[in-house]
Amino acid sequence: MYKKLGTSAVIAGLVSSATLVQAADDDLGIYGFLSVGAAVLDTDNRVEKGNENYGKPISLDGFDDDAGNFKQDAIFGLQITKQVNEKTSATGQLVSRGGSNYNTEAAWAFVTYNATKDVDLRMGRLRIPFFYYSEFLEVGYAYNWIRTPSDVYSLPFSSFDGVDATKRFSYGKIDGSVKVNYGRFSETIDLYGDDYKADLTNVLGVVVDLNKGDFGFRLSAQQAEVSFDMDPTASTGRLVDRLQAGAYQAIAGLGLDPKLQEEFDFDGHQSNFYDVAFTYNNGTYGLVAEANTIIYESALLMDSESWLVSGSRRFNDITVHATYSTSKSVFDGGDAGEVQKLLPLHGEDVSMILGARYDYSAGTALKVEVQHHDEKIHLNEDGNSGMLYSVAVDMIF
Amino acid sequence: MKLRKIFASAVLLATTAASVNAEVAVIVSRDNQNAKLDQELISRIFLGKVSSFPNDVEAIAIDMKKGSDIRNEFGESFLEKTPSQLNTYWSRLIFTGRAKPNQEVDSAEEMKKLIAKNPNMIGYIDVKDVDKTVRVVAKK
Repeated sequence: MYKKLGTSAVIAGLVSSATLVQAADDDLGIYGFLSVGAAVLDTDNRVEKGNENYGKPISLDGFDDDAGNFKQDAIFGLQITKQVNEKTSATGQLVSRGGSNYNTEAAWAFVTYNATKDVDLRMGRLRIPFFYYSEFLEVGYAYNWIRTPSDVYSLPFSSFDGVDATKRFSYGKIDGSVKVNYGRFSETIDLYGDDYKADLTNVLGVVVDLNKGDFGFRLSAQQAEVSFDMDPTASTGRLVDRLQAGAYQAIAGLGLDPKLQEEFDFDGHQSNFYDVAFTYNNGTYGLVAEANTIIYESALLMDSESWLVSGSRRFNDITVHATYSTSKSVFDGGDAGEVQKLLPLHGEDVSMILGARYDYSAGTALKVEVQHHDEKIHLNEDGNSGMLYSVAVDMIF
Repeated sequence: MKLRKIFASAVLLATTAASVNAEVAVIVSRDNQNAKLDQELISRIFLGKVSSFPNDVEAIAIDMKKGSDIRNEFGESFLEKTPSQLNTYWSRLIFTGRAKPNQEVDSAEEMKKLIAKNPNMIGYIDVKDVDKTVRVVAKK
């Protein structure tokens, strides 16, 4: 008996020291990504004098003047993952963006608990999984474009503070996962070029991912209560403030029920987002098709619909790709819609992207891209169109 | 005579080309109950899509060192992806915290040692490094 106990103690000792050695080996992971690029915007000023958009360059992905820009596409990210014990790990990702003056921000900071081998629970700062590319939007190396098409990838929100739970499963030859996320986001965001203090509460969503061989399918539904520090009486000149003041005036001017004003507030209004994506990649040919819709209960922001379709063909280390993307705002029905038509809210955009990616080494890609962007309708009027020529280097390490 | 010489060098060339592409053996512990595994399942396990063997036991994939010939060979023949494609694939998982990369080892010896004692693990080595400490579930 004594001897038996002794043996199991030795075995236990061996097992735990083996685990320790293994833990010391791979308990800390450091990963990074870097993108640098240059781009030139060239606007074709086709609208006539008198139009609100006359002489204005198109605004595309933060490129807002017709000159060379080396800063906008620059991005640097560093991620550290620490395995705390067998079931728990901590991950932090710091990202510094040229487009926001290289201010460093914690894009991700969370603790993961592997409840079972197929269930992960995470808490902390996470990404709202709106779009197919949302969660790795800043890792240029992870896709063929220099940046995701902004007609579709246009939401001003990205992170949230909260929890998510992921359940992975396999059913025959189909592998998939279901993720539920819940949380809140409070931060200053950019809305039409102005700063607003935004508060997203009750951010609640579900994402379903299915894969079979070369085929992939993804569905995301998200909802949140969105509010901003609105002030329609302020003389700050912020666009959405002025829109709200304009809406109130229009309601009075049209002799509509003053209660309609509430529809042009944010208080207690919910917003809904739905996205569906289909992917195919057999290693040589690739296809991505994605469509989504945003429905704001508040009439102050226009609902919108957008979609993209992108095809690629790989020739050894070179992949060429072509993309069509479009978005348009959708008017509400009833009196609210009539008021919306009087405000400079309506927009419709179409883009074509042609590009090539050269996998220069296993962790480095060189990219060139030409994008034609057409602001068919910009702030309710005919808009301009233009070309954006870009080159970039994306790497991971 | 001349023709024979050309033929001989062609044969020589062909053999050299074949020896560059080493045959890869996918290995598990002798205590692992799964007799054979198909390429599709092996690929899904190594890409982190599936976390179990067919008998429902947890599967842990072990990779050879990044950049090694045998890893690239395994990537081409079993995962049907180039090193760049694999990097792109993994960058999507790593930078979203969805998965961490498979544990890596430096040599066939290390791989066999690790695999031999853990029935949950699955790895790969050059066919010529296979010995009786491990069991082969697929070859390509």
